[in-house]
Amino acid sequence: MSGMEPLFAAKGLSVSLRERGRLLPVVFPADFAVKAGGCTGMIGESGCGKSVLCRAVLGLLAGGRWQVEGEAFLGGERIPLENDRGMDGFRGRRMSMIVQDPLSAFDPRMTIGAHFLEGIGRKGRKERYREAVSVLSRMALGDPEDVMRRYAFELSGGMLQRALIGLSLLGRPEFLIADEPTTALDCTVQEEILRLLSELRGDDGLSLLLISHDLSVISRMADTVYVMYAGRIVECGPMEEVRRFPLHPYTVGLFASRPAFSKERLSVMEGRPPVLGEFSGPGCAFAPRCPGAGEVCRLEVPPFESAGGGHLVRCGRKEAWGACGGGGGF
Amino acid sequence: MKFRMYLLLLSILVLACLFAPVLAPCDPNLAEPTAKFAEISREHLLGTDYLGRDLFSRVLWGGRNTMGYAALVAAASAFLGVCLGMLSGFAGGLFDECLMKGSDVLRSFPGVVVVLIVVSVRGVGIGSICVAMLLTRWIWYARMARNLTRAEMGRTSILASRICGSGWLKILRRHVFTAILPELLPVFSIDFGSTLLAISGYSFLGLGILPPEAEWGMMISDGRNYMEHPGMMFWPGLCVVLIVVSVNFLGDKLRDGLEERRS
Amino acid sequence: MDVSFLELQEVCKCYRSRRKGSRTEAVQGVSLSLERGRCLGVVGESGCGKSTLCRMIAGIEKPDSGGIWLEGSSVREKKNRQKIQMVFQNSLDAVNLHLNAGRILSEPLENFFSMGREQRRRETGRLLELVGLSGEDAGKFPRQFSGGQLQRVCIARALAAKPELLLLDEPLSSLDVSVQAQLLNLLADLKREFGLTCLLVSHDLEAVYYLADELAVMYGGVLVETLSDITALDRLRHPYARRLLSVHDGKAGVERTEGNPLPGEAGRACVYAGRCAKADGLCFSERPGLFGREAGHRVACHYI
Repeated sequence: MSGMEPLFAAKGLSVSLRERGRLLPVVFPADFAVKAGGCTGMIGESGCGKSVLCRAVLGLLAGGRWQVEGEAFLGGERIPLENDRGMDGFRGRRMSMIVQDPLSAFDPRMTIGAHFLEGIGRKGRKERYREAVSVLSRMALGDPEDVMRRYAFELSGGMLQRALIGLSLLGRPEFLIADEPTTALDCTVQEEILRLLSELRGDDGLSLLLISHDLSVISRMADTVYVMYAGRIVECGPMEEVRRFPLHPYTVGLFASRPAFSKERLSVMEGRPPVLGEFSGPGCAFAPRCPGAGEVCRLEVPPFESAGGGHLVRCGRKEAWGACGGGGGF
Repeated sequence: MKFRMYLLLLSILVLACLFAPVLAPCDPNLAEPTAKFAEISREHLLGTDYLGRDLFSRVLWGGRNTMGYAALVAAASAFLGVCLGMLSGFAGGLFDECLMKGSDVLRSFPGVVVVLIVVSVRGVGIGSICVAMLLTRWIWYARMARNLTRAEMGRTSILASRICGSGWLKILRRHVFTAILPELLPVFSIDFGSTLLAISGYSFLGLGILPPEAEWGMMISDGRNYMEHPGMMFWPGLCVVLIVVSVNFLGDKLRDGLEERRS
Repeated sequence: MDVSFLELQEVCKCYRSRRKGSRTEAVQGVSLSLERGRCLGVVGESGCGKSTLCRMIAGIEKPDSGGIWLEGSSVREKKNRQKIQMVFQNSLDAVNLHLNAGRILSEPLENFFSMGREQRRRETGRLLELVGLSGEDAGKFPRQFSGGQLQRVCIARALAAKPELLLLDEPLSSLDVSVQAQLLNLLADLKREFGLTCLLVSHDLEAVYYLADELAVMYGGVLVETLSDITALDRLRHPYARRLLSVHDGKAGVERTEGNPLPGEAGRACVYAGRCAKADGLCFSERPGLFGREAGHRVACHYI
């Protein structure tokens, strides 16, 4: 791995929730990486633990009811996830995050501009203002000075998301976590935001961890993809490879669930993803919904197996690879 | 369990008072001048008062009066207030504004003043007290029900119900009322307690139930003159406290139960 | 002249904000018609007036002007109450959380049909099975269902009235991808089985394509394009419709400006002029009408 060291790497990162004296696993030990200047996508449905995972990476879960184990590295340096004070050097400066609902990310009593001035800090007011304007003007917001005078609720969802991206880039981070950044937006606006993120990637060498449940978003943006199900990464690999030859029955089912401009009957996965703590049995969490599940799937969690070319699958039945949904699928 | 304990306590007290005519060993108003301030004995379970009346019988009969009127006033004001409040929240507009402004005006009178006015018009008696308390107490229910109704009316479920063909009365009864009931229950239980205290209080002041009828507040007031015989104050006082505490506790628990079942 | 099953003529709805005294033209002069048994998909972004349109068709909101008729009689007439049913976006908000599924389903049964208690119980069981739940679920409260299951209950409630027109207002948008697919299949089955006429409002062009036969594109409260055969998507001509399509192709459009639809008072301009790359003086001074381009295809644009 020398020479091609990834910018960000998580090693055995797991998150559990302490509840009534017991530990509820939310994310099982996960390894994932983001290349410098690359975009890694993480797909999963609600409750699969993807949002929790990215909060853990930012050290936002330290203490309290959450227990984070494992390690994460940024540019070869260990991120002190357990140490809130130590995270100050990373959060906002070297890594940052944007969220699904930008309205809740802004204080409704402060103007957008006030958020920016506060975020820059340690400089003269004029200088700070100039810097805020220069960051905002890159976000294609129209008139940045006008935007700075407004309050969050006066802006549309797309404008707010642009402002939030600008805010998160103030500290010139190298790594940006985008947690469902376009879910709440209309599809034309969504497209514009994605284009903005791509531009930032190209111009600034920003690396992205893009979390979404939307396959089209991930497949457009990401070069590497991780598929999560019930707190486990079940498949990962280069985006193109996974998109064209999905192997885990869940991934196959996920791709087959979108109509993709056809009127042919959709092949669906029965049931629904388990919610936190619902699946407690041994074995593969997807087995209850998997059409190809056999005896072996219910005994133990399958390990990762390589399908070549960096494509890993966590499915114990090689003969079931690539099949799902009552014979349909790809 | 705490809940069972309070429930048991409350039902024993209520049933005992309800069956006072059967359970009470003596006529509560029968004075026995020879047996003034009798000690606790088999004949007089809680002793006797300054006129030699059996305290146990008086506590039972007094509870009938106190709790009966408190329940009556609380139920009537809850019914009136909730109905008006729900209508007001549902209708909105001018009706809502008039009702809320009107209730503000009424609310600005202290309760005691209203009682004094009603008593001066209708004369002293428990009837006047009940009317006066009804006049001031429904407002709290109306306010609460109105605000809860307004919040509920904003939900899509009301639209869905209209599309399902329900009329406004049915929407109010079936959707709004069921939704706001869990919030209203603790209000009712607190209000019942405070009504009970108020009735006792007004009787204590000599405005409510007239002697020789038994009533807890009045019994406490009588007992005040004979501090050397604390039983006269203690027993009715204990009953008031027990009832108020257990009703409040049960109201809270009932609300939690209703909410929990549905979440 | 033949009467269409559902007919909208020049429907307008305007909301006034009391505090600011501002007016929002939610729906401006929408005319369309729908034949029995067809499914019309309405796409557009949030705030384009598609939900308002839905509510007006359901008869629970009155248009400021214009009329909506179901088989020649106004949708606000009482007899049409039962014929038009609706499914909402957020299922948890669309049901009373304090009633169980059985009671939720029996509401339309009580209102529209005279059924005994036992008959109602049987009917709710049948309805639950129809939407892929089991009869025992009747005792469950809304919070005990998952989002997809609760949306099924809502669909069952709409079907309970035996409607002729089913309005679906973003029925899938708050659900997981795999659950969306299940419901898409369910809706397709129900539509075929009961010969329902549907109006599907969504921002998801793919889902609309899957379910609908016809397409209407709305922008800023105005119908900008209608297409009577949804499979001919490549015929779409309006710049906004093209843009929607390009998002799905992955081919980025040329327009960069993200502007809001011009407010109604801006007068006579085309609603899309503020964002349109082709817009010129004519677009800002005159709003284009919705004119037929070819059979079953109408576009509202000066330059097509």
